Amino acid sequence: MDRRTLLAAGLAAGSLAASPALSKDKPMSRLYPVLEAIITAWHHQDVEAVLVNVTEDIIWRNTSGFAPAIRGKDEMRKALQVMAPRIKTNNWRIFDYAESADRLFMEGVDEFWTADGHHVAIPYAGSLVFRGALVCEWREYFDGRISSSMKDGAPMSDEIKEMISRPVAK
Amino acid sequence: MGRHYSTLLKVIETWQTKDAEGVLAHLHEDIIWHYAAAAMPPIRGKAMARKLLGRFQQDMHGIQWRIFAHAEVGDTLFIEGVDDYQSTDGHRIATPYAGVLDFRDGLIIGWRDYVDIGVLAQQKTGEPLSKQVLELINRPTAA
Repeated sequence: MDRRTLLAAGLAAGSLAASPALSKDKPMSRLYPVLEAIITAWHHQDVEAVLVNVTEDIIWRNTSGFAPAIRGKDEMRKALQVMAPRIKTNNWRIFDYAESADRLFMEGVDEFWTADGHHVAIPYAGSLVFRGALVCEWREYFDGRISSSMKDGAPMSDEIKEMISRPVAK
Repeated sequence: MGRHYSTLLKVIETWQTKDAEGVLAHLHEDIIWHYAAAAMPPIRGKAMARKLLGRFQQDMHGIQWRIFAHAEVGDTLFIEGVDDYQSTDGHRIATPYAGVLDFRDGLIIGWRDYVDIGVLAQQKTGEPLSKQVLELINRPTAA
């Protein structure tokens, strides 16, 4: 049982309900704020502010096994520096998450508008493994064909519209 | 072990024997099942789930579906695993994926599996599993 579940159970039982700090809809999380910081940094396309949250030896698997992993902070920096200028603006967001020990699971959408005017939305799920407060493994799963076709200008399908119309996690 | 993960393990154990009705016993009547999230339209309802499982039964053999990591919060279970089986024409299919399952009254009502159909398509042509796929799937199975 992770911390969120424990707190949710406590709230349900009324044992924690007297604490204003703990009586919010979502209990405190240790790892999710790190992901939020990364997302905020990427909204500003601030590559170094993203990288400050990952280990030197990070393994980034960002293609569901389609392409080799990106290994190390230097290689991740290069990848992000290639991506950043191609994106005009982005609205990457998370719909739900769960934590277990040093692992954060997430479900969200990588939504962005490219510099050449295409609207791309890639629903995905993934997991982050942490060493201390830093991400040391990052795995994302999605259909790469969607990414390719939307970057080429394909319209958003009805199922994607439905999937990404969910509220953002707090 | 979380209670929802325990249910998923029963689903997996049942599916290893291709017992579709055993799987369906754990699905809610109103299930929305994204078996290839965003890549394919979801199937809606248990009747459609039965048809989908029937299709899968015909092309999945020696099923070694396994989970590497999981976490649950409230009525939602997050998983990371692999769908590993032999296709009817003898190819090994092993697609790493992440899934999110929503439960209501102990039954799965939302099921979203995120997978790259491009990886699946390569393997269906008989290509051997790539190094990066092997790295993703050669991990210990979760307890």
